[in-house]
Amino acid sequence: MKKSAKACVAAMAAIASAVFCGCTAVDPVDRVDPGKLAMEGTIVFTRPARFTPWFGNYSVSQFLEITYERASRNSAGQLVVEVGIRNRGPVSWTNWHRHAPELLNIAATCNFYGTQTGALGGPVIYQTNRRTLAIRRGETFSYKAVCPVEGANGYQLVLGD
Amino acid sequence: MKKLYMPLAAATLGGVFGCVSPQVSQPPVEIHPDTEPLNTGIQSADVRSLASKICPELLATPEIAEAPGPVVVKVAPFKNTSRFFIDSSIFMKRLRLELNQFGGGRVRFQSENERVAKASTQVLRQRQEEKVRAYLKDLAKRIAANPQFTNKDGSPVKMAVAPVLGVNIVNMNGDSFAAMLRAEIAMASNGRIQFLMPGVMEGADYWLTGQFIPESMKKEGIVNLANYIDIIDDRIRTGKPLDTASIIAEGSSSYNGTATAVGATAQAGTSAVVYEKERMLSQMLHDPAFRENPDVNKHLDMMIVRPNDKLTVFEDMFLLDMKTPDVSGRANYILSGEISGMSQRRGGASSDYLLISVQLNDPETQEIVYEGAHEVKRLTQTGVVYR
Repeated sequence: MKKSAKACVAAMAAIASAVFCGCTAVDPVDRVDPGKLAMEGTIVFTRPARFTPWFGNYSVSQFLEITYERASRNSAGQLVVEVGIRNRGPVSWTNWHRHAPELLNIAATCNFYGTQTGALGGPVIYQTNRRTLAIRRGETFSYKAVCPVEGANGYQLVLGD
Repeated sequence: MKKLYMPLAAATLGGVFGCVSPQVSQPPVEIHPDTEPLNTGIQSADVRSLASKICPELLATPEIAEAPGPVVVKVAPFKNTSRFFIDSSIFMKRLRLELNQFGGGRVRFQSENERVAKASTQVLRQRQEEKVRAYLKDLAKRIAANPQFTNKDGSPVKMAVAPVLGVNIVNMNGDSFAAMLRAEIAMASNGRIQFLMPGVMEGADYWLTGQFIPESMKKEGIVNLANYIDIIDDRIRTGKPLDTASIIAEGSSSYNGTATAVGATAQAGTSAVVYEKERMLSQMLHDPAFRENPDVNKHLDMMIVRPNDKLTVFEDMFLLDMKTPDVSGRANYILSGEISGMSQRRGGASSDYLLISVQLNDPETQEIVYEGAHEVKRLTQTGVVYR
C-alpha cells in the first residue's frame, strides 16, 4: 500500500470515528468535584458571559464588594440572610478603559439548604426568585432573604449579571 | 486496497449526512419567568418577587406564627390603579401558591372559585337530603310509637294528609315530604295508623300537615298556618277541592279584581273572613314576587292536627334545605393588595414607578396587622403603546 493511500485511509477512519461519536444518543454529564463544592463560599458570583484568556473575566463582581454578611433566625424561627452589597466602581486594571456604570443591575438568588454544608447537603429546600438589584455607584444595597420553610440551616447567595 | 477504500468512503459520507438535522421552523423559546426580554410594564418577575418577599414575612407575622392552629384567610381582590392593564389577581394567586406550598399548613385560604362554591352547595344539599330521609324515618317511628295515636279499642287511627303550606318557597315540594312521611308512618305503625286516600279529609281522626318556615328577617309569606287550616277546613265544609291549582284558579278571579269579595262570598257560601284568607293565599301563590325562592335555611314543621278543635297534638321541625353556604364569617384575616403606579413619558421613553403592596387586615378591628411591598422603577426606551 502506498503511503498516500495509507494516510487517506487513516484520515477517513478518523473522520468516521469522530462523526459516529457525535451521533451517540447520550453523553455523560460532568459531576461536580465534592472537594471544590466544599470550597465554595456562601456568596458566589456566576461565571460571566464574557471571558478572555489574557485579560481574565469581565465580571460584575469586579464592581462589587460585600460589606457584611449575617445569618440569623427571626422570632418565627425562619433563617434570615442579610448581605450588604456595595457598588464600589471598577478597581481592576483590566477595566482601565471602561467607565464605571452609575447604576449597576445585578441578579440575586438565594438558595436555602437543610444542612449547613449547603449544596453538599442535598437539594435546595427553598429558593428565592431571581431578583434584580439596582445599586448606584458608591451605595450599599441591603439584601435580605428569608426562608419560609422550617429546617433551613445552610444557604448560598448567587449573584450574577 | 480499493475494496477497503470504497466502503470506508461510503460509511464516512453516510455518517456525515446521517447526522444532518432536519430544518425546522424556529422553535418556541422557553425563558425563565424571572426574566423579561422586553423589559416593559409589570413583569412576571414582579409577581414572583412579591410572592417570594411577602410569603416568609407573612408567615413570620405574630398573628400567624403564634396562632394555635391554621389561620383562615379570605382574599380580597387586588386593586390596580397603575396604567397597566393586567390580570391583577395573578399577584394574589402567586402569593397564595407560595403560602400554600411553603406555609406548612399554617395558612388556609377560603376558595374564591365560583365553580367550587356551586359544587360545594350541591354536595352539601345532597348530604342534607340524605339526612332528611333518615330523619323522616326516625320521625315516623316516633309518631307510630306515640300512645296518643293508638285507639284504646284497638281500631286503627285514621289520618288524612292536608297539603303542606309552602308560603313563597318554590322548588320545594312539601307534599312529597308529607307523602314520604305518611308511607314511613304506615310502615312503622304496622296498621295501627291508617291513611285516607289523598284529597279525602272527612272522617279523619287527625290531619297530617305542615309548613315550610324560612329563616329570614323579612316576611316570606302572608298566610300563616292557622289561616291555612281555616281555608282547608272551609273548603272541606263547602265541598271544594283541596289542590293548590283549584285554590289558585278560584282565588285568581278575586285577586285580579274580576269579582268582589262580598259577591264571591255570597255565591260560594264561604265566610268573608275565610274568603279573605283564601284570596290572600291565592295572591301568595299567584304573585311572582312571592314565588321567588329565598336563599335561606328552610325548615319543615310537620304537624298532626286534631280536626275538631284545630289543636296541634304533635309537632316536629327539622332543617330541610340549606342556604348557599357562606363561610366568609369564619375567616380570621383578610388579605388584600394594591398595584399603584406613577408614570412619566418623554418622546419615545417612559418611566414607571410601581408599588405593589399587600395588607393583612383584622376584619373585626380593621387593623392592618401586616403590610409589605415590592417596588420597582423601570425605564422603557422604545415607544410602546399601552392602552
